[in-house]
Formats: sequence, structure tokens, C-alpha cells
Amino acid sequence: MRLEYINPFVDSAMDILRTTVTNEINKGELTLRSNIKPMLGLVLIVGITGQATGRVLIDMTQDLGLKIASIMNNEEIKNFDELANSTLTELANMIVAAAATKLHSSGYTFDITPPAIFIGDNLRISDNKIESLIVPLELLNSKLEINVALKEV
Amino acid sequence: MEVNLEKMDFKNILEYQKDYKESYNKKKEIIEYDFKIVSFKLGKEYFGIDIMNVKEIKKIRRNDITRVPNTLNFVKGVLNLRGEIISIIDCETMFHLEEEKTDDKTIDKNKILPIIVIKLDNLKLGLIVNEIQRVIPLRKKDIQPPSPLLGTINEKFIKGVAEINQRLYVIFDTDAIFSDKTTAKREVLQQVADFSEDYFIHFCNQLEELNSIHINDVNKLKIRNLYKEYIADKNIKELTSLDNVTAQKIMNNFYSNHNGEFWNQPYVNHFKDTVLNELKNICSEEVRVLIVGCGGGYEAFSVYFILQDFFEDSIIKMTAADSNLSTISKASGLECEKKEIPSWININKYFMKIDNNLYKIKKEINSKIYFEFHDARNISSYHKTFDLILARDLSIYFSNSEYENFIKEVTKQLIEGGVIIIGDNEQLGKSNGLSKINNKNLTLYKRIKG
Repeated sequence: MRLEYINPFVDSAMDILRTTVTNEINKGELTLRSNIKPMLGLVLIVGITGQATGRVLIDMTQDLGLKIASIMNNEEIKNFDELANSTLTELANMIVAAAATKLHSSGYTFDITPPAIFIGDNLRISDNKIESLIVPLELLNSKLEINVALKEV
Repeated sequence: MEVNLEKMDFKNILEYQKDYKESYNKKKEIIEYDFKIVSFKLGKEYFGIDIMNVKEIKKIRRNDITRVPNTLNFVKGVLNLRGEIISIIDCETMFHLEEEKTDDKTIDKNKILPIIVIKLDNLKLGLIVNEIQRVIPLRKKDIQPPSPLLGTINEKFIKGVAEINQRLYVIFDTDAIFSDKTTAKREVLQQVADFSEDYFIHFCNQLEELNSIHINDVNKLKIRNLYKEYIADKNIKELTSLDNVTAQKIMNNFYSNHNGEFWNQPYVNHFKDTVLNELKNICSEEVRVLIVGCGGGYEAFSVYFILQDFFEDSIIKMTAADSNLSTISKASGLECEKKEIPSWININKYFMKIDNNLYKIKKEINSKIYFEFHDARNISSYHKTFDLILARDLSIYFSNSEYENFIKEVTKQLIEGGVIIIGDNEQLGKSNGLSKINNKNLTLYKRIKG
């Protein structure tokens, strides 16, 4: 992962989550991973093209997803209905778009794809041998992982 | 001796008689032996002990030996010999003459072991040997003093070497080795123990823990040398605990030349002489370089400057990776004092002055190097090829299998004829597709077909 790419993603994730969800977010140590471990239960995915290609995965438990959706909508949401899903995909969109904007201002051009949401138990995602940056966050007493993989073209 | 009377004149007869007498006496001497030795085999070699020191020869079962906890590795235990307790010592282990043991770890408990019980003043010991041979009579003059070249057993514990029927027998000085009275015993025990594998392993474990590193086949040789230097320097005779500072100091001797600083002469010239010669044959328009574990970036910039000066018209494409985010962040946008920059570097071409004494790498140079947050364990995720790869001192961050895998993967990313440089003190075993380039100062390998 190119050094210049790291901070925009970390910063925008923190900024967006702070303003939309909660102020109390703890950031863990950034690590690298090349194999994908089982997902927590809810995955948001946004593709990236441009200077480099790749994707961003935002991984959390289904409970945390519902909590975030509830906070963002200012009402209690108990199921993954249309509203919950579109709220969460919008969150992913905001995070990645903010990062892309930051990167653009430092001279790297990126486009992002519309986000998608995956919900299920025992989710596994595999992408062929790509090293990804893991930004582990903790909010609302739950874990949330941002997984960024970019490959220079 | 025959006397040829025809050829002799009488004047010489007396002298001949004298000679004859002398030679007769000599003959008589041959028959008179001075002492006898009991000969036995340890490993593949033959040894002897003065029979006067031997009390008896016995065969025992392995089961008869009672093991004693917390003893040195060559003390096998104690044996009840007709009511008397004697210690049993395995001579092969003690003198490091073990034959390579097969992987079969099952110990035959009923195995018959030949032992020689020796008596020294007030001490009885049982020595386990490989095979007891026979009693051999010897004269003192048959024994030649031990050669200092006898590496396995310390010179002072050997009475000498005798040749019998074209076989060499090393004769032990049992008093010197086992006697309680002299200090020799302590010395031999400790000397054996100091260099024993157990002590070395203990030393390695401490180094690994304190420096959070891995010691593996690639770097073990150097670590062993550092260990020997350490104990020789400190005159250490027992298991010691290392502290943080010492462990750090020891490891500082492991790192390659110019670790954490700009490269300087003569290392730069060694690099130029070997590496540039190779690269010249394979690179024309661009030179693709990968630096794995670039740390603070000094190594990356040093190599960049050398290549840029040499391949003036080519594009240098350099990727520098490290898994430590904070050091690599400092590497991009490196700042340093003037005294840190050696004279071979064109300071005006590559640096800009930002303060009185502070220099910074020019931005256009910096942007040519692709600094990357990357863990070398995931090296297979690179889908690029390179002409030159530097991975100095990386082995200490990997376990054996991880490093093997790393070399395997990194080899794939090297073009044919490309060069990989590993740490000065590292040594690769057999690896597919790489052939060593002989050089005294750098450890480097060239990618070959296969």
C-alpha cells in the first residue's frame, strides 16, 4: 500500500464516523494482511478505479450495523430493511468518497463504484493474493474493520 | 645384524661387536612394554585408557542406569555396582563424538552398554563407550605427544597418540579429565558445556526474546560466531542471562554494513563492481528495483543515487517497502544533517537545504521512489518483476519456513539475470533458481533459469 494512500482512508473513515455515528472511536494499530479472515457478518464494499484499482471493505457485526443505522436515522431500526441497507451503503459511500477527494487534492485521481452490502453468517471474501491495509476501529463497544486493498496499474 | 667378515678388517671388529650389543639391547627393549591400555571405540575413532586406572569392564543394560535430574548432558545417571553407587558418563556425548543419530527416537531400554569402570583416588566412574576392544601393551616411546590439531578433545586431557597396526589410538589422561583433586575436571566440564548446543540455544532464545527476532538457518552461522565471541570476550563459563542492552549490542554486530545510515566507501564500490556489472547486461531503458525492509530509507536512497549516477539516461523505478509504518513514513521525506551525507553523494543534485545544517531529499527525487507500507510475508501479492532486489537482514524477522517461502516468492519476481542482495551475514541454503555470485563483501545471488 503506497504510503500516500494510507492516511486519506484512515482520516476520512474517522471523520465520517465521528460526525455521523459517535464521537468515541478508538483506532487500533494499522496492519497488513494478504489472506482474508472470516467476516463479522455485515460487509460493505466499494470498488475503486483510476490511478490504482482495488476495493474497500467495511466489516462489522450485524448488531453494530443496526445500531449505526438507528443512530444515523434517529429512529430504532430492528431489521435490515430497505432503509437500513441504504443508510449503511451511504455510509460506505461517504467514507470512500471522502478519501478519494483527499487523494485527489494530493494529485491522485480515483473513481469509486456504487457501494454494495452483504449480510450473512459465516461470510468469507477472497480476492486473489492482494495485500490489504487493515484499519481496526472500535465504536459503540463493537469492532469495525476497514480493509483497503489497492493495486497500482 | 650380519657381519660380513670378508669385507671387514679386524680393526673394526670391536666396533661391530659394540654396535651389535647395542642393537641387541634395543631389541630387548621392544619386548619390554611400559604399560598396557584398554582400547575402545567412541564414534569411529579408537581410544585408550591406562589399564592401571581401570577397575573393571562390565556390560550393563540401559535400564540399570538410574537417571539423575538436572545434570550435565553427558552424565547419564548412577549405577548400583555391588552396593556401591557410581556415576555413569557417556564419553561420546562428553567429547562430542556422537555419530549422526537416526531420527528413530525410541530408546531400546534393554540395550546392552559396555562400560569401563575407572578408579581414581577416591572416585569411581563408569564410562559408556561404543565398543570395548582389547588390551594393548605399549612402550612409552610409541606414544607421540598430542597434536594441537586434534580438535575434538582438548589437548591437555590427552596423554598422546599411538599407532598400532596402522590405527591411531588416542590415549586419555584419565587423571586430568576426571580427577577431583585437580581443577582440570571443572575446566573440561565447563569447556564442553560452554560450547554445547544447550547453552547456545539458551543464548539464542534470549536474543530472540529481547530483540524480538527470529534465529533461523539463514543467520544461525553468524549468531553462533557472535555467541563464541561473546563468551570468549566476557570469559563466561556458565549460563548467563542477557540484558536488553547487551542483547542489542550483540545484534548490532549482526546487521549488514551501513545499516541505518547512508552507504559509504568502500561498500559503495563493492556494490558498483559487482551489481552494476550484472545490471548493465540486463537493463537499458529502465532499472526496476525493489527494496524490502527499507527501514529509514537510507539504503533505498543510497542505491538510488548509485544507480542514477551510473544509468544516467535510464529511468530508475524503485519500490521501497517496510512493514513498520512509522519508520517508513520518516523514510519518505528523509531529513538529515550534513555530516551524515558522505562525500560520494552529490549533495546539490539530490538534497535541498532547509535549515542551517539540515538537508532534505529533493521532492522530485522522493517522488521517484515508491514508498510502500508492505509486509514482506505477503510478497506474493506483488505482481511485478524487478532487476534488482535488496532484502538485507530480513531473515531475523522470519521463521525458517516463512523465510524459505519469502525467497521462493521473491525469486519469481526477479527477471532472469537479475540480482538479489541479502544481508552480509546471511547465507541461503540451496534455493531453486538462484546462483550465488562470489563476493567477499556482499552476499548476492543471481536469478538463473529454473
